[in-house]
Amino acid sequence: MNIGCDIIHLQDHWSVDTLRQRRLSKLYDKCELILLSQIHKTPKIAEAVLWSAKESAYKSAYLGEARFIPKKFILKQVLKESLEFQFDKTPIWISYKIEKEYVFTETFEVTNSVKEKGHSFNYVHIEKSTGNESYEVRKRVYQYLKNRYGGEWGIRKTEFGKPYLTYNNKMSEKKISISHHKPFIAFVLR
Amino acid sequence: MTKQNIEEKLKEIIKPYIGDEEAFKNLTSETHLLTDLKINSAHLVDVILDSEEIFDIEIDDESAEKMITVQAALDIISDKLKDK
Repeated sequence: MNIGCDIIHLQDHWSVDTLRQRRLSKLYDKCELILLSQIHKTPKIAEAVLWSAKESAYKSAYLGEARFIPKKFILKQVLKESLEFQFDKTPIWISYKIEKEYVFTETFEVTNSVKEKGHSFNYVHIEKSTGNESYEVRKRVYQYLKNRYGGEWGIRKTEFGKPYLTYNNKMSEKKISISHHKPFIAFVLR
Repeated sequence: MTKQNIEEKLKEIIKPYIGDEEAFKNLTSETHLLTDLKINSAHLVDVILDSEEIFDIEIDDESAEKMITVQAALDIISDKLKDK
């Protein structure tokens, strides 16, 4: 399985008045909405975490042609700072972080000892950016990798738009996930 | 409603949510909504909701999953209009 991360700038997330029932029914299964209050007491924040987690799960587990399938990733349980989803009978674990201005989610590989706290072995970078987010996040990835490992690094995309890393023009075994939501940028490496 | 009417209305629906102006200018039936027009999934739900409102149809989950290209969206909307 790949890795997936997602960041949501809370101020720019769907406003409460557009979070109408019809929208919710397109994005979430009824059983997921029952679990929302376990994520956070504020519905808007809880929903932002749930949506972000679905995006992370999609990036991590879905490898086909890009399509709209949020209800294929179903929230099964809420633990402290982590969520368990199911996609095609496979469990996906997501850790989440709620800050004043944003929520951030990322997939993590699980053992019994880490799932409660959602501990991740990924390298995570989150930043408030002032420039073009798409450009800035790539710049940060290259800076980090070059400083840490040397060589020339690149980000390319598969035919279905999934990003992967190249090292000295060859596909790297390192995994990457990128996200940006103005003005925040984030990436995760493993 | 003619095929041309549906296409024009669909373009108006899509326009506020695109992330790639150039791809929108060169729109063809094969243009991919997510990867070519760079409509993110958070906005694709708006395209679906707006389409339901403007065409007065219901787009179920299975149909939403198939709305990958402009042509696929047009086919789904046309079929739903016929079923009304």
